Amino acid sequence: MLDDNELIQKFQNGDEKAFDQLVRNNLNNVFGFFMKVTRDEMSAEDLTQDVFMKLYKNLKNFRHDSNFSTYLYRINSNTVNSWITRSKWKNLLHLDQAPDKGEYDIKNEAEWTKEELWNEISKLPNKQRRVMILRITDSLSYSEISKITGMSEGTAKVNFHHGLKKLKEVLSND
Amino acid sequence: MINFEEKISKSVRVKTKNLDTSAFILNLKNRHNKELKRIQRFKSGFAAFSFIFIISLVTIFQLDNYDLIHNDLKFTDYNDAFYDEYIFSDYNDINFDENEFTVFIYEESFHYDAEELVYLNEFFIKDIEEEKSL
Repeated sequence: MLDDNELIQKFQNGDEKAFDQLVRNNLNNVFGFFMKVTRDEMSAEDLTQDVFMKLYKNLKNFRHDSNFSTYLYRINSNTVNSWITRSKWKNLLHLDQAPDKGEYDIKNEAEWTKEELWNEISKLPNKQRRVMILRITDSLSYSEISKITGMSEGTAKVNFHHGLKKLKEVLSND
Repeated sequence: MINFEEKISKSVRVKTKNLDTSAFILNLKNRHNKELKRIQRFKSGFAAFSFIFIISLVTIFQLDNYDLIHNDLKFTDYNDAFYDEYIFSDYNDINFDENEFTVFIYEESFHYDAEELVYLNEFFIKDIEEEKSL
């Protein structure tokens, strides 16, 4: 079975089926990532489609300078960031609909609900939010986060700890 | 703090079902085709608009009597000029210069129907001759 880089090479040489295989290899990871953030299958699927559309358009220009997984995470991170910015209040506070009592919010083992948590994450400054999302959703290392976001490891650490401190303050007060 | 990080990481975990890959790829291709069509539609619409716009411009510039359409000069302006300068001054003095009048007609005919000028000329000459005979 071909790995992602070989599939990209084939796709760049005009083999459209290689892209289908690339989607098969990465679909559930990308969907899972968005599922953690959005907690809604429809939104997660839409965002996953956005990511693969972007990938399809831009993959021909991929230069193999970085890992494909880093490249994909970068697209994920940008997509989720713009989704949060776009629908900060409307979607995260669910002002337009009744609160979701679905399976993803019932398990309220922590002192806060997922909704409260994501609501607070959406209020963090851009850099802190990006680092926070990558760290808590997929437990990425700081070195991976620094490659994805383009900031140094030190900056990523500092941003994460600032963000975490703010979250702790807000969520513990609740 | 590490404990808190773990708590948060645990709390965002969700059980996700696996997506149907074939259906997803099919949807993706449909969406891609739709986007391509939308871009093509926009391009052809823009090309059609540009074509019509250019043709309209060319047509407007080629219209006869372009000045007459776009200037605010009124019929009375020509009429008054004709009366004031040639009827009441020149004809009354009976020092009518035919060459000058021909030049006037030639110049004015760009804006004014030459036939009407000739008609008016003949009409007033008749009038003046009648006055003379009286």
